[in-house]
Amino acid sequence: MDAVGVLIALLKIVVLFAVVLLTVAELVYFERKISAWIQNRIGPNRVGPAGLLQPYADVLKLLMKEDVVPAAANRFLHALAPVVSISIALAALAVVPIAGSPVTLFGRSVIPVIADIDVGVLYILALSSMGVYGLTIGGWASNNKYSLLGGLRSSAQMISYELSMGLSLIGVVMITGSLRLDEIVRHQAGWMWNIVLQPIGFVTFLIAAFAETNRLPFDLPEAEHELVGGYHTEYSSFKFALFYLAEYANMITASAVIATLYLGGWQVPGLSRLGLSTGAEIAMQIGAFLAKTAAMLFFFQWVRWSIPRFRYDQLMNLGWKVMFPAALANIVLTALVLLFVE
Amino acid sequence: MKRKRIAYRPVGDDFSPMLISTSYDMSLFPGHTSSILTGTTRSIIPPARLVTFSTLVFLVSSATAVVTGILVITRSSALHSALFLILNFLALAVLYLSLQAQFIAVIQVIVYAGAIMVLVLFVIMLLNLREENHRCRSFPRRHLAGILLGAGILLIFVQAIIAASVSYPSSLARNAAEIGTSSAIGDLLYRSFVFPFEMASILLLAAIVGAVVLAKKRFP
Amino acid sequence: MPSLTWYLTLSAVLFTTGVVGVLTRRNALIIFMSIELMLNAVNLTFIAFSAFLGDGRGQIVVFFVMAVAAAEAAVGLAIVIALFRNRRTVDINDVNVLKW
Repeated sequence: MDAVGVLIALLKIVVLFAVVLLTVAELVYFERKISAWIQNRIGPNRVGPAGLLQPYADVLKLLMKEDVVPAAANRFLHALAPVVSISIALAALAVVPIAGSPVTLFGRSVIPVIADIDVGVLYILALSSMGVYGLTIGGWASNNKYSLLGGLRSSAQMISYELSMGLSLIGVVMITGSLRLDEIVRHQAGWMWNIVLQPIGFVTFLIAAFAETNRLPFDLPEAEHELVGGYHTEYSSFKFALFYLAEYANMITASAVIATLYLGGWQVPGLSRLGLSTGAEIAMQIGAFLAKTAAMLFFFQWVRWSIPRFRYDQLMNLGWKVMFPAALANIVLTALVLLFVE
Repeated sequence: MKRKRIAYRPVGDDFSPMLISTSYDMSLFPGHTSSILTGTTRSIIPPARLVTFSTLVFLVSSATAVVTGILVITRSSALHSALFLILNFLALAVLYLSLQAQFIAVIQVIVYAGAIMVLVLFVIMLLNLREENHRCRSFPRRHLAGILLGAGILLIFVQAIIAASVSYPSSLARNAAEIGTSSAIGDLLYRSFVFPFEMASILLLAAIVGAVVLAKKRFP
Repeated sequence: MPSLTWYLTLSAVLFTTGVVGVLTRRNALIIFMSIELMLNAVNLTFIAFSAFLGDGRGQIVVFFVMAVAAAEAAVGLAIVIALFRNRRTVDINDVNVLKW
């Protein structure tokens, strides 16, 4: 690869990291604000205008704290776990396309995605299946029974829901006939988004995404009332901040992936009829993609503050007895429709 | 051992990942850049640098694979073994990518690193196995026997590999990138290998039933 | 570029590592992992030959090996759990009566 190509690829990665990290900070702020609105409170309003600088103050406070490692913990694995979590959360965003056509930058055309790979859907599944290691290793390395229980729960939960996640994706792949995310988005032109074509698949994928990101109603690995803090009971300071970051980065990744797979990605219905210039079209597409991702992020938080946590047996029953058959039925249904329509 | 190794030919495009899109221009494509003005694709990197890159990838990932492999069988804690085995599988996935087998590489991560090893970790944590405690002898005789036998097997393998190496192709096949795509694999799987595929699904069904029966606490 | 011999030698080394692991270790889980190591070494050989000879059937075989490995993992781990439940051990030296 030539020097400029490497530079552009690096630039894309840096921009992605910066955007995700800044979004995480503001996401924490909005999480607290949204929870305040839902619970009829005011929420953070002291630090900065309307409390906007609150997350930065929180991060500073976290970094000032002493880094406590339990005496009987495995120090290396204890430090490794949050790093694994955050890197896997960020890596999945590399295959998500944010616009429809290449941008011209430094006199060369730049594709609007870090790596447009042929097996994009499988890549996302692979990374989401690796995501469990951060939590599991963290839970084990802390040498604390609550952490261990949290880690065990997270691995059981993720194995159970990964299955429905993969199966719901098969419907999308069947319609598109490709594993490449760019082609999946291109196939959703106009209003023919996959959420319209695949309503069952969308619901099962959404629920599985909640479980994979460990968000309430499925936050059993950290369930405060039963497990103190679950896998991150023994974490403090920077390592805790990394876990925290990873949770929100996971949420951003899940939202971006749902927007890409089911909500049409960067597609704006009727954009070509407006007769805009290419630059304006790309700007509109990026805007549409960000708006869809933001809508999904709001949905994630809305659900978190509205639905109570599932019990462990309820979680397993839902995963294996409802989601799994529903995802299978969706595949059969999609196959039948494809067979008779085409 | 090295005398019959075939000298590598610096083939221009040996590590071009088919992974990268062909629908866009190839600004990320190693060795190629397409000029918007002329619409032509030209190689701007001398082949020698590409050779270095793919050799480097091979050396790093194979060293990782060998070292983690040895760590897997020498750690006393099963959990550490499992973690090193995950690294080993990831290194192998990189090697598959260097052989242009992108579908198998991703499946390797999903099935081995993502599913099988999660299960193994789950079992290790469920049984709460800590270090192996009994160390009656520092170096038992069975270790010596095992290592000697292993050395013998390795000798046989290497002998066979070297003996056959005159007939090996010297570089990746021209169509190496195409046969590794998901569509090519799917084509083969559902045209020529339908029966083995169905057999594999029956095998998996039998495994599910077996696992449930074995793991069930009490039999009625 | 790495030649086929390199890949085959690496595969041989990995396979031997797995064999030594099976022969020397007594923990059922580590033996299980050594077998996975051997399966992966064989997979590497298949993929290397497939890529160098330009024949996709090698990759299909790897696909089936993975299916078998998944089945093996499910049954093998279930056996380990059943073993531990009955004998409180996963050391195969303690499991020599063919019944429990």
